[in-house]
Amino acid sequence: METPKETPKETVIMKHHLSGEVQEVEASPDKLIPLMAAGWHQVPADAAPASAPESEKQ
Amino acid sequence: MANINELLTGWSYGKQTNISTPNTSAIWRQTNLNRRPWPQNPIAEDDAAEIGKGHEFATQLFKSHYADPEYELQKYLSSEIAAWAFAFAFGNVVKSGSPPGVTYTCVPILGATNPTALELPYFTFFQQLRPGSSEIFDLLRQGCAVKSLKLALNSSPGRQSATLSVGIVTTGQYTDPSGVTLPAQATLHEMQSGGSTIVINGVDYVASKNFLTAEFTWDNQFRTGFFPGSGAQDGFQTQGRFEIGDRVCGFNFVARFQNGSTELTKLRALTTGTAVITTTFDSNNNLNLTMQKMAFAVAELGESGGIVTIQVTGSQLFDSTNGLVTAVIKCSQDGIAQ
Repeated sequence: METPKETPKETVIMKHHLSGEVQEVEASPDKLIPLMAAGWHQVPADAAPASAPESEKQ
Repeated sequence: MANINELLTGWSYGKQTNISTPNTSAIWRQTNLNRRPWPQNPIAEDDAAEIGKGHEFATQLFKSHYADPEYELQKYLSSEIAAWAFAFAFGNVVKSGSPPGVTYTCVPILGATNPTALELPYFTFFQQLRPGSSEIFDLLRQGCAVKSLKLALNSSPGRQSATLSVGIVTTGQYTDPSGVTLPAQATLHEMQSGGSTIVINGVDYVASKNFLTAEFTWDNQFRTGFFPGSGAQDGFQTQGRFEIGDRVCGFNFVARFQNGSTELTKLRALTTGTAVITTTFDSNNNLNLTMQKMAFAVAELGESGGIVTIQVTGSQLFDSTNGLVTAVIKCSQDGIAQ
């Protein structure tokens, strides 16, 4: 019997206006609210930080 | 002759790209319990105060500015109007998910870190009376902003049990005729107070069947938007920005008071905790309003219908982690404040 696959959690891209830092964050109130309260804002998905190349993940 | 029932009201659920560019694509049409049209109010001034005329009377009029009053949209609470109102009133909005379950997480902006500084998103507002060749008026107002809102939960049955009033303001800039055909009435998912859950400072008021009424208010206290270069139309100056002032967050509620009620005890101890109100239509249409750190400023004994009550005025404190207040709304409408 196959183990049901876990549904991937939806994420959004957040950016801090002053530092310019960008993070991909799980789109749940628990994760979002502390960031938003600290001044982070949603930005379009194409602003996501580039993934590290496979060679650097080892 | 025109019947007020003919008055069509619509506005953009999408934000404008800036204060002066209308959004005529992401718009919806909704009914309004406020029976008054939003008046235009051009202000003229005269020369009565100037000496040298030989008398104290005015001899000339001068165009001054547009001072359209704050207008109140009065709505039964629906997931759609809640998402729109909190998104535009608070300004920091994260959208996730897709129809029929789009989630909007809304918190008040911080001036220091908001990309548009002290300004909130702007929207476009329409009021039309017989638009077309025999129009009475067909106004498009651009650069509107949500100044205030009031969410009320009552003990009455039906739609009146949960209402949301939204105070909106305009720069004075307008287009008449708008050239816009409003869409059909939006499908709304109304949430009545019977489906609410209310947990305040550790007390589940629904479980104890003790809750009577609650009222949450928010006011952005906009600073006046007249400045050199702010704009003009018809020779009357218009406002060029709405910047938040010292915002005011209010919450008060009335509950039955009985043996074991803790409101007075918590007031004396300066106890703080979250205040969480949820209203629900279904799993895709609901509102969760959380005041992150609330104390009781006033707790006053009273009476309602012969039952002893306590009226509590909350004192909202800014929590170092979660801020002041958060509204998380799920609804089927995509693109709100986007």
